[in-house]
Amino acid sequence: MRKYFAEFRACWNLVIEYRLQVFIWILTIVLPLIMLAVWLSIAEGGPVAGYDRTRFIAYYLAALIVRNMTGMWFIWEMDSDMRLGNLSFRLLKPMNPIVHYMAIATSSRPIRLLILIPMAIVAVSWVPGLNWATDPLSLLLFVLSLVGAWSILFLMQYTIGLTAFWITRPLSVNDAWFFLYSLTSGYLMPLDLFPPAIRVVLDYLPFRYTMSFPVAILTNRVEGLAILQGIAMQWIWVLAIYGVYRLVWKRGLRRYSAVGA
Amino acid sequence: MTPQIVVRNLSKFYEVHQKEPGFAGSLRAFFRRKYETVRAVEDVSFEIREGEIVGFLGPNGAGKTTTLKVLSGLLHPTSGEISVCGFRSFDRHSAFLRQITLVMGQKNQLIWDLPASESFLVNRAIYEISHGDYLAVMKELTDLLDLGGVLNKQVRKLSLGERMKCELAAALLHRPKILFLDEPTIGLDVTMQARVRDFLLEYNRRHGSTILLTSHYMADVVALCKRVLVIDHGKLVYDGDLDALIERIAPVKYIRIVTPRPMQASEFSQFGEVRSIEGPKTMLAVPREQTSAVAARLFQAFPIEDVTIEDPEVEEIIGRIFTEKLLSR
Repeated sequence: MRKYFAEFRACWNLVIEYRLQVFIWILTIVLPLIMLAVWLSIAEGGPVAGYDRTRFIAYYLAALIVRNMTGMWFIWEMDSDMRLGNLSFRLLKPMNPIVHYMAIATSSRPIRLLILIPMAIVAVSWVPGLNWATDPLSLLLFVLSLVGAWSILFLMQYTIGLTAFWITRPLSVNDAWFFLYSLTSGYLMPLDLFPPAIRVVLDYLPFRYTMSFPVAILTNRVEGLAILQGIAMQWIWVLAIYGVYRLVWKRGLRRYSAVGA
Repeated sequence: MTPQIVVRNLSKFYEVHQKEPGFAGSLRAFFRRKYETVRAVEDVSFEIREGEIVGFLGPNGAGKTTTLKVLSGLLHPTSGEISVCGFRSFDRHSAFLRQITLVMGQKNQLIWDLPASESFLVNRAIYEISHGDYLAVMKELTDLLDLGGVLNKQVRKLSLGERMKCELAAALLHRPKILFLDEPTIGLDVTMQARVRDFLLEYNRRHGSTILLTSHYMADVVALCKRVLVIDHGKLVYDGDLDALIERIAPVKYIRIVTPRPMQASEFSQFGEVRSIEGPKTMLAVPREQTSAVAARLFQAFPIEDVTIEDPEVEEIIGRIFTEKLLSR
């Protein structure tokens, strides 16, 4: 844990060093806003699958928050580390390299919160009929669901990054992954808008637990036991993906030490 | 006492795929790759005692870096046994990792956009160095490497020499017992190379750390290493004193004489091999053990204004090892 905090400290200093860039990162998460504009104009003619204009606003603003708290881009650093051989340095230290990337993937959150919390307060008090959860218990569950969502995404991204042991450009795998994520998590559009047959399939994928589920908590669309079930499902996915990561990591290391750093 | 590093019959082979040139070749390679085995290191054995400074010599691609990577635990040997501080290095046990360090002159571990001191703090936590130890090590390294004004500047703004000093410091915070150095002076100017060498000597003297280094600069090897391992095409062709190697490869010394009048090469035929002659200045190559006898005879044969006796440049000798395959078995 101390090692993580030391890494976090260094990454946080980098965030401060690149403060303008971080501001731009936050502003560039605009996909939810674009999608919102699209749906607002469609919903002018009446609600779509139960979504009226206010509900679209509530949904996409929540998606914006969830994406800001769970979006991560460390795979680019991982890619260059592995291609340029910096991984060798990390392997010769008494610390699993995953800790370093965990630090990168958390370091910008405090700054993001600094911008998101006032934004959320403004939204709740000024947008009529937003109907976001504001009681402490729901907010706590929302934060817990963000932790689960972050963990699922982090382990997936890290495991994809590790495929660099075998393939030259894991970033192209990541492109395919991002396509799947955007479509099936609820980031691009609410999953309720899919035909029921597809929704059944989506229930068996981990992606909905990284976006649709936290958004549902914040927008008051899921209650009681269903929330706890969702959080449990998140952790089942975390464990499953962790298992895959361990397997890939062990085999990858074996290959790395066989074919060269 | 058992040696700190024991390597027995170490071999490391790689499979690399061959790519044929041109588009058709790429297409063929896409569907069926041809593999070729590269024998990077083959049947190498040696032992190194604690506190030794040993240089690896060999042309590019000889297997020096591969050997260092196997010793430090990055590469798994194809066959053979290896023991470093009692550990099989490729297990990368954390108790093993705390005793070694690897510095690669061509790569950097410092965080590029932050001052080096930030990277040091990260290493301090990773190696779990206590506050007291950290202060003591930092004080020593700051003095020895003259890090004063350098630590709080962003790494990207440092000169190559300053950066190398910080790299060394970052690699030594945990007081490793063994230093693996791959080209630690590459790209540095002559003064800075000398500084790094002095530092390594002093560090070895103070802490008795073992140092294994590869370098293209013979001056590094001559200044630091009493013992050298010469590797060529993956095989160990020499293991022993640098001085003995020089005697074996170059059993001659050079006698330079200056005479009052210009000389002809034929006049020296009975004294030794004429290496150069420019008017009154002549350089002769003479077998080592006969040097003084030949010099005395020269004085009797000619009026001589000046004489100097010197060893051939080590650079030249090592170059000959590889171009003329002098040590190949």
